[in-house]
Amino acid sequence: MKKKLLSLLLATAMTAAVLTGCGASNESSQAQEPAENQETEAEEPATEEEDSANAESASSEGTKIGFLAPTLQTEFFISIDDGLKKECADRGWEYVSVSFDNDSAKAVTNIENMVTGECDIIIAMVSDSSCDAALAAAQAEGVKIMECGVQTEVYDVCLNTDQYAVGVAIGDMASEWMNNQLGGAGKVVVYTTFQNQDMQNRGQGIQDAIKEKSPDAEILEVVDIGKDVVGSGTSTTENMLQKYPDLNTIVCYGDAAAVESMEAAKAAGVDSENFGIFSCDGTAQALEGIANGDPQKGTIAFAPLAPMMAEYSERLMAGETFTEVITAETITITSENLSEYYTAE
Amino acid sequence: MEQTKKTWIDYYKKFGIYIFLAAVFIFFAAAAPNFLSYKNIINILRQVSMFGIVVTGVSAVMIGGGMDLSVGGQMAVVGMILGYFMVNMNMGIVPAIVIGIFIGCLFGSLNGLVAVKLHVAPIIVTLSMMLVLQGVAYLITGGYPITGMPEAFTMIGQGYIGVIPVPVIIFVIFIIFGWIVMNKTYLGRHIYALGGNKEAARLAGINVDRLTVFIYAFTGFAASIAAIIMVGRTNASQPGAGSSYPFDCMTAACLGGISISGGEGKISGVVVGVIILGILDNGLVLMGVNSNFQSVVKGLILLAAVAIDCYQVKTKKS
Amino acid sequence: MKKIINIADSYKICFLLLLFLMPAYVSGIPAVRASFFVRQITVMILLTLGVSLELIGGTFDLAFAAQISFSALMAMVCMMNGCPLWLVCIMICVINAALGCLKGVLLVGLLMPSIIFTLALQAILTNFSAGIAPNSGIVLKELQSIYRERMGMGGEILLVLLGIVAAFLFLEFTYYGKYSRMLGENLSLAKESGLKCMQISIIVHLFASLFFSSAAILLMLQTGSSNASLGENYLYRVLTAAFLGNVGPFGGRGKVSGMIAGAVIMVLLIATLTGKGYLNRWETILEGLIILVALWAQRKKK
Repeated sequence: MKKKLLSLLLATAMTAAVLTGCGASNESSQAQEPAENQETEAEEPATEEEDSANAESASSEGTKIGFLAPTLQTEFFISIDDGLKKECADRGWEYVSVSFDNDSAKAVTNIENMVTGECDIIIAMVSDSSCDAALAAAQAEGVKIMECGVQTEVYDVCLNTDQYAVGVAIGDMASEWMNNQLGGAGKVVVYTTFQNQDMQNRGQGIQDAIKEKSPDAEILEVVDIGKDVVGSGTSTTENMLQKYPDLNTIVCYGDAAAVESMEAAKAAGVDSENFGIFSCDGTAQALEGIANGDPQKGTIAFAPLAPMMAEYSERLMAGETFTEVITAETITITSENLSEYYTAE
Repeated sequence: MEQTKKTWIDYYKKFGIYIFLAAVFIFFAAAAPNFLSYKNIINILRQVSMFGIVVTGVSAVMIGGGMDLSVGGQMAVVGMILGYFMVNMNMGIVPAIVIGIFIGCLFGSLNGLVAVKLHVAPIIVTLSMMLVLQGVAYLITGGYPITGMPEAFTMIGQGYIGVIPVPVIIFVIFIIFGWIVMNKTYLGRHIYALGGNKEAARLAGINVDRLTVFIYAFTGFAASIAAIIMVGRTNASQPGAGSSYPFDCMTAACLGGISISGGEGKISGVVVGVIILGILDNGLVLMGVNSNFQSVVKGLILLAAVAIDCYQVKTKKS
Repeated sequence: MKKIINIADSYKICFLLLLFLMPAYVSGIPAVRASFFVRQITVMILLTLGVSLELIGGTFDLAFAAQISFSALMAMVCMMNGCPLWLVCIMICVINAALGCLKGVLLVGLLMPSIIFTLALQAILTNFSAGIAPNSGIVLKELQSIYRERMGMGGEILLVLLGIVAAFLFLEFTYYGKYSRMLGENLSLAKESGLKCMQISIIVHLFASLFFSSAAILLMLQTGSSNASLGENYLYRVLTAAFLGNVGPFGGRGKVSGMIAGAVIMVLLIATLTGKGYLNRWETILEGLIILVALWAQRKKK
């Protein structure tokens, strides 16, 4: 009993020591900041370029970036993660990334741990305002917040894309092809997901664009493809082809489901020329499908997000403030402009 | 009253699954558009073929008194390794398949060995292995899928021999093989004995440790075959493949009459269980039912199937 | 020397791992970060206590995370329709209690393997929540400020201390707690010895459900939201914490001190991995390995 009590006391003491901390290194790190600021102020009389370069290098030295993604299991977010890793390596910054897998509780914990892990900037691709309290606490700690993909009330800079507009772009691309290739007589199935509001907005944009630009086309069904379970695109497409024998167009919210649909459609022996699949993300597999003349006819790619995030991180560290939301551009890729974005290996 | 209850359970055990199969088939034939067509039946069979192969392996483990939750992770890693060798290292199809099957058997054997040597419950071992393999699958390429398999390879998942899809043929061969082993060989009898009473099996001279390792290795073999078909079907190796398999396999096996406590169950029942789940998945999609409610239905089926099995075991004992 | 090396002792695991993890925290932690740690440890300890009580009673629960998100989601739906906060908190307790009763009945009444029926429950609850949740989730931001104003760090510490004391008293000083170990160790013998097994099982699960309810309420208020995935990621973290804390996977063994130690270690481990950038790829691998090693060590000690 005594041994157990002693062990427990020791463990509690260790934990308490960890919690209260030495304090010295935190104070010393805080002391460094005013010194850096004084250094920056002293250089003001120099030329503007030298100023900004010195300010940037002084303030961005030892910068640590934390990236919070909805998931790191799909190609789109993995490519952003890899891109950011490279951008940070080029700038000599530290970098960590975590995903919250649609769990707000995990997102809050990750934000807190990134603050504890001494991140200077958190790039948060959150899905709603459930993390606002945690982001505000991070800001109180001096951490800069870059929101991407959704706009809430807590951020220092926001990079956003109107997901409804992305959906409209996908729908426009599909409508143009249906009007040119099928005389407007498209039989369409839309794959969407109700996992978050953004994707629902995208799905709605797709439907509205098709109804407007291809009034003669018929949307046979809007399918909730659910979570990104591998194989669901394949089996859903097989079932849709079975249910609607005259189906000739599939419009997906993302490339993950689209490329599976493409393989399923090919296996079913559809006429690739008169069967169109359209989606978003601009992944390599989708671009390869377009290049090979497969049913995949187009995809919407985002302007590379990682360099944009890195650029705005630099500007944040330099002390710049942003009042307007920065819009990330989208690029429509079809066989007409494919060569600008894809080269067959 | 007691007599009636027993008879009801006995009838269920003997015929229940076939009645259920007929019921779902008739229901969807009436309610789901385009369900009752030759093409759709082939569709269903193709969709359940990979799954059915894994369930055969899992059933062997369950009959032997164990459980394997790591099949999904095994499929994911084997699929990634397959893609890596074929695409990134330009290895031939046959050597890559051989290596994939070997890796699958290795993972299965590892499950068995750890359970036997470290005396940890197999279900916990496979739960841990599931977590480990889920992580390993993402480490292989950093989470990126591998695409662009050789065309000949995709025939395994997308090809036909005559009018029958290749995956269905592989599934049928596997089922026949499994049926022969479980019903016509000493190995099958030993597996039933192991599941029925491990100590009695040991006293009867069966090397229970070696047999345990073997049946887990067999499940690994089944998972690797399923992975090969899946990669061929989707023309891509995905790190997240097989994530829903542990739950679905258990549902199909329990529905097919495999007893949770071990020592009971037939491969024929497993096939019926697999087909029922395939019909449910297909029919509910054709009816436009939300995919989440499909999983709710499967969960209720698993609960009901296991409850009936446990009730039967309980009444037998009393 | 042998005794020090005996890694099955949870106190020594705690001591060794804290030594290992401490460098990550040497830089010092201002008040805001202390509040982060207290928040995380509160939720982790409450969940670990709940899961461990069930493990001791013989239930290997894979459904508790789905239970939390389901009850929180139902509560949010009611709040959206005008129900007051106090009422929805009671509702969360009632839902978790009902699910706890169900688990107790299935375990003792039908002798169903807990891992199977909780896996089925998890699928049912998660997918039902996903199917009915409007827009896949509900956000009521004002809950976050209510939480900050009324709860804060003091409230969390009080709540977790209350939970620890309650769990300790339940396990060591009540009929149900003491005999739940026997139930978990060997149910058939417990029945033959004349114990009221069904009653004990239901009470244990009801008591455990209080911890799950507390965690559900905390998570709902802290995030001001709920969806089908809320708390999902706690599933294997909490199980790892319980096994690390020397709680047996198939019943009968476990102490409150071990549960706390396991929870603290997991919180520190997750924080360290996040800070170093290893969480994403290595979390599931580490959890799987830790579970295996911890259970092997438990068997070895036996």
